[in-house]
Amino acid sequence: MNKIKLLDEVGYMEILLASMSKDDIDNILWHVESFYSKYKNVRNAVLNAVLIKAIQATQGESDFFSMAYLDKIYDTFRTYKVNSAATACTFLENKNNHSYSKKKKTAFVPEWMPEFEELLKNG
Amino acid sequence: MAKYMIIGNMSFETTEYSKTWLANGLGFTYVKVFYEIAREYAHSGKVTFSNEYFIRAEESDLKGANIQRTERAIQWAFAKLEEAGLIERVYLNDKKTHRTEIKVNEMALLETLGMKPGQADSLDRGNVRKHIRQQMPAFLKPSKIKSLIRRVNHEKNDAKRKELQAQIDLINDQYRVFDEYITKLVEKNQKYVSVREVNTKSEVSDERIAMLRQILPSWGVKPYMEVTL
Repeated sequence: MNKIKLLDEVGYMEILLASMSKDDIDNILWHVESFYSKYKNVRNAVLNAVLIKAIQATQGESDFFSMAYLDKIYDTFRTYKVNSAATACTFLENKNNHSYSKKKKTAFVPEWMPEFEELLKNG
Repeated sequence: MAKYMIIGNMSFETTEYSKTWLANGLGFTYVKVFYEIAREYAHSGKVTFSNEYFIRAEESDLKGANIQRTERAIQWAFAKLEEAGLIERVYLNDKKTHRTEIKVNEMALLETLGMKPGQADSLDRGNVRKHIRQQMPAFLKPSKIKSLIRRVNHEKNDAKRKELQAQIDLINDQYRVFDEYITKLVEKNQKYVSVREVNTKSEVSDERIAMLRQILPSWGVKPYMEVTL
């Protein structure tokens, strides 16, 4: 099955079972259910992508995520205009979506600079 | 309307979504228990339920109310309803090992379900009857009127006809109050059902979970594998 098709068809219970133990699911389930019922008009694939993103960020830590955290991630999805299953899939694969791109500044160097440096070395 | 049953001069009616309401997680336990008792009482006049009946889902041989609670919660609900004076449990022995019947206080039932719009809201916060009136998807209507209309059409004596017509007008006034109240109740209870319809558990397939465990590492998530020895 294709990645995009799977993201669209899968339910939240299956994602949780694939990535967590059952004791951990009990702590989160209320938040996830209420999040899915809040945004019932939004596509299933996008909501699934939000869930996966939240699990990715909090995995291996002692605390669990809450419904407010899922809302926050969904807001960032909105700003990047993630509407469909295909865009959600590409958004998950690119790791540097959130970080700002850093450009290295190149300073201006005049032509006589290497000669001047040699002069300084020789004394 | 689903069914038409009679208590005294009043008919006991249930709404279409009462069955889904019973299976929901939402709503108080003793309201659900009392709904099931009142329905049975209106139908047959005698209630002999076991505690297991309330929890069980319907099977081929056995009926069940499918209230999704523990048995302790239902024992607690009985105590709460007895305290309010709505029902009374009857036992064979003094040791209370075997329960023969659940007696229903008919006057209390008619009072609680026949409350007018303002009455229920003005009661105290922890009142049991208030919760029953506000959450239960059932109501009462005067049942006389259908037979009265039939009699008016056949009556030839004018004096008798006027008497009957006066009775109909009186009941019609009651109806108007009930109908306004019922529409409010339906809107209120619809809220409980619509929340649950979204949250119905989708089917979990092992194939899809196995597929997800292969794909999840590419999205930066470690898959969880159950340890088997």
